[in-house]
Amino acid sequence: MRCFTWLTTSVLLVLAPVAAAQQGATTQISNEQFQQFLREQQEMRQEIQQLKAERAGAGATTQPSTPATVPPVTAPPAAVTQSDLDDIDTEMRKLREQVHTALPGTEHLVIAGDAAVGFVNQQKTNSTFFAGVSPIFLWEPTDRLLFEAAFDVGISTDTDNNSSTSFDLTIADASFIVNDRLIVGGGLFVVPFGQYHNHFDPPWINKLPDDPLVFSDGGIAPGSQVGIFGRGAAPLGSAKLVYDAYVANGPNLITNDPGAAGSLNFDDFTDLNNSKAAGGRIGFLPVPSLEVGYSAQFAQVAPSGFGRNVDAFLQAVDVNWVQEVRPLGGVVTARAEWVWSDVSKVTYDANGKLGFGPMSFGNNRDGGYAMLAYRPTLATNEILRNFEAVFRYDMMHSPLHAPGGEHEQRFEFGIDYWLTPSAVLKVAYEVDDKKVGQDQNAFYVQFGIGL
Amino acid sequence: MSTKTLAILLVAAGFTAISGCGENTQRSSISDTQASAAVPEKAGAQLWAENCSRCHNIRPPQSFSDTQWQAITHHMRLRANLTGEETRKITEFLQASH
Repeated sequence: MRCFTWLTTSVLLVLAPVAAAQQGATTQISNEQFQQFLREQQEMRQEIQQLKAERAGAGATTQPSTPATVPPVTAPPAAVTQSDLDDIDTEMRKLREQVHTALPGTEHLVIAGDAAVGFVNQQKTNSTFFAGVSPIFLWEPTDRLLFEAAFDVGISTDTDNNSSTSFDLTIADASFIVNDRLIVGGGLFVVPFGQYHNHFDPPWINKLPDDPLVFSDGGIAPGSQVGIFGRGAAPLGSAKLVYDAYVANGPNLITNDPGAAGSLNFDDFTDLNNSKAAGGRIGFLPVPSLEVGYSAQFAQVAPSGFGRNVDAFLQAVDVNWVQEVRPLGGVVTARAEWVWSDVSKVTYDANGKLGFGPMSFGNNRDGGYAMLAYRPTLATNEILRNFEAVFRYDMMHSPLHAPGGEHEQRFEFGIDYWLTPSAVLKVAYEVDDKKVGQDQNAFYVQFGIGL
Repeated sequence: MSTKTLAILLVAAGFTAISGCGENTQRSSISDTQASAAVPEKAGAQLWAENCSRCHNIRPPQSFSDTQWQAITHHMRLRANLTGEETRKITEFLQASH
């Protein structure tokens, strides 16, 4: 009940300034104002034509006569130059654009996104092509309001060779600019936990064809969640502080699957209890090319009726450095993130009815990645400038006595060729090392594009 | 009051203190300017290069129209934690570079 009261208060606190500021911030115009714009535009067009006619007439009448007989002060038409007419034309174009951009409609609706198609040949599975498209819709009805919607459309084949198509909503939120340092919003949003999901996973940004273990399906970091958020940034001299906070439904604890009990399900947006997840991230940029951050999220994750509360405390640290290094002749990118996921100790299948219990353990997992890339942007050869070499080490540890427990590490080497700033062809080879399961080295080819 | 509720309230208070919640956009712009008065102001082109390239290759200004850039920089302000001043300068630069 206390949680519900707090949430209601939070929503009201968020919506009150939104509603108040909306009255002053709207940029829509009435039909009368629009008609007035059109009349003004028509009047300006007539003035231009009149000026052109007067100038042509003046030129025709004054050229034959002797200039000495015409005092300079009595020749106003000659004062209107082609430059003046160009200026008026420019003003008209600006006015026309202002009128059209102020109209309600699709002018502030942008459809962007990304797409990828590729091929993977992985040990112990059949080789396959894969493809996916991820459109994003941005609608900005006013300068302060933004609506976003995004989804992933893809195809996949599971380990039993069953093919399926997928349609996953990843973003459906509304946000409001409170001031220069704060934005508030709510809906289904990408959780600011670490940097990967928020910044690096689109195929035209990710320099390798697959995701690090901790941020992939079955990983330990949250992706999108339903809730409310506030985020912003503030300058600190020449440095910068960035901050995010959110309250969301949070992940659900898997309790009855013998192969996954104790893991967190981040894909189920329905909350299975009355507790909410609270989290955030704080980042610091001492210089523009370097960002370091710390993220945390706390939630009670047991479904109602499980019998006891189970805490899940997630933490992450991240660093991202991108710098042109002249002695090396190009741009170096270094990224690393580490995630800890601690689920408190609890007994699963306590009465043995599910066939795998009773089993008691605390599911404390961790993992991360470190990536290094180099692109010779200062090379004189244009083709060479478009190549980028990438290396990534990633790993994830989960308790070996827990269902699905594994110690896995991977070494991935890749070469990218940038066709345009947002279109890339990637080739990569991944060396896999598992402690429990069989190693699955993989060869990838992928074309990624940002639209 | 539970520890969790207290923690959430502390986070909210921190946000309010940092962001100056309740100020209007104009006032916060002034405070931004005052806060950064000791360091040279950056132009839109520099902010565009610094902030965009930290995550991805820079998209040329010709990639989108003026109104599209406005929505996209609004989206990137949300996604990349840009300040309002940074967003305005980057948008003006992109719109002027067509």
